[in-house]
Amino acid sequence: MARTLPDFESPPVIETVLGVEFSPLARFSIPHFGMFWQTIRADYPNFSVQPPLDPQIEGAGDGKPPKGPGVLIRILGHPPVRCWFINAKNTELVQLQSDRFLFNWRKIVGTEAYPHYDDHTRPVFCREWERFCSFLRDNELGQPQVRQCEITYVNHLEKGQGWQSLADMASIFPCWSGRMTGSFLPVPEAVEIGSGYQLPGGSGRLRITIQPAIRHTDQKEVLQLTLAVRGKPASGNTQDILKWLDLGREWIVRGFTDFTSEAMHKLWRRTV
Amino acid sequence: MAEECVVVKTAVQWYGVSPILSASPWMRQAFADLSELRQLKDNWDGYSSPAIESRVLEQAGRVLSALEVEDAPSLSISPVPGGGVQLEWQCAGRELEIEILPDCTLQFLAVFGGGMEEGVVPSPSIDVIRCLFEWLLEG
Amino acid sequence: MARTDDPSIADEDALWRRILAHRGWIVRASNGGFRPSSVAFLDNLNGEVSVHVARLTTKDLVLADYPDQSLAEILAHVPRSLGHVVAFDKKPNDLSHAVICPPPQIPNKRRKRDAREMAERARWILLQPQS
Repeated sequence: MARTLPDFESPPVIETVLGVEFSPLARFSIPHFGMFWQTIRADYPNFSVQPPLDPQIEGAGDGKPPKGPGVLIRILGHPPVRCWFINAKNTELVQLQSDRFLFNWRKIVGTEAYPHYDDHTRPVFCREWERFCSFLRDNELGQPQVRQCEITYVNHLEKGQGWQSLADMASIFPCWSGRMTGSFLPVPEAVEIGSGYQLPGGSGRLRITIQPAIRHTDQKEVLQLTLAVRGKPASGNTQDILKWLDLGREWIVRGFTDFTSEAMHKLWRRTV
Repeated sequence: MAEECVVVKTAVQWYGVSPILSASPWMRQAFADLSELRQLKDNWDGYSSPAIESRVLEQAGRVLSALEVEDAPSLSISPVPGGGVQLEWQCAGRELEIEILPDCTLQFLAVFGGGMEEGVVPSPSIDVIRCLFEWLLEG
Repeated sequence: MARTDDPSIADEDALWRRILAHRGWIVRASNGGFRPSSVAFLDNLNGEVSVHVARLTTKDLVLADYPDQSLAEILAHVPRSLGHVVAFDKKPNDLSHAVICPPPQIPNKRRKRDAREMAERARWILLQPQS
């Protein structure tokens, strides 16, 4: 497929997440996790049980962080769990709880090519979402009342690849000058950046965060650059969800390209 | 097959990371020690032990990240024959061992004046890990 | 097939265990000295801990290919008192090789305690400087 958005041969993306948040399914309970797993088990043979995610509904136009963790009163009866259904290669994950459905792809070996959104991530998400909706219909569990969609790209900029210390931040992110009025402060120990951008027509918000971190798999020091878009699609039908995800993804790709320097684009081998 | 996985924070992200700003010196050293274990090749002990898998090291990283303390007692990180990792602390007469097995399950041993207690850390397990560590620090 | 205890290894026989030259494998003992970590007496492959029957070998032979490792000794009655089996597992080039096997019941609910106890009751034959 011809690429129209900026494209890179070796982007630093290490994980992508596509998801839907909906009103809690009143009749969805513990046994249904196992029943659903049976319908996808051939593709996701492994599972893990996790604490549930708190609601993260993006407030339209207020610029405030999404309504997230705080004192929450969970509706009684909704199972306080999240199930992970994991593929055999440990690269793809379906996350399910009574008010959330997510599909994750991640780079596990470190050298495999990034599976492009159009060619892989989008169609696989669509397949799994529709399998979930079919399961709900077949078991008379209702249909999701979609409140929000989300798409997240997690990028890891490894130390030693384009940067050696935080003194190099300005060469990675043009928006960070690193300049000070005086010369008292040393090179920062850590720099965390968070910025938000409204999508047109109130369709959502892009949040960009930068956080120096240590990656657990290999204990490498990285700059984690996360671009996350959350917002409400025109309706809860699959076509509108995909249309919204396409918009979110466009904002992520263009936002990533704007936010990072040309020097880094060269390192990542920009082709479009 | 159930894959045991400690989740440090409730987030959509799968990849585990520890923010550097909140990583105290002892935790940074611990991650450096874990990084050394990645260098071990097959038969590292001369008794046919396989190299330590990334997912085991990742699990160890998640356990460490669950311990949000600025100062921790002396920590020893060791490879376990057969491909596991053990975290071992000593603090004022108490000792805590948390072992990450090759299948990423967790077992612990608590040692105190009167004896020893061992068990399996159930999943999700952040609270249990934190409780064990709080017990250690109370010594 | 489960191993059976070998009476030709006497309770008083010394069993030697190589201790890896890794700082985590040698820890502070309660008496202020150093002891092997309990990991030295664990095995996640098949549960069998390799040792050498001291009377059938020498320190130099055991450490021939591992000059930086230390050597710890426990008497055969120690693992046996914990319900473990001690049996020969002779190799063509090492007739001293034996194994300490956990009790047959699965899972072994004393797995870590037993390893810790063996570590605490081990004594040094050779303690190398730690890396």
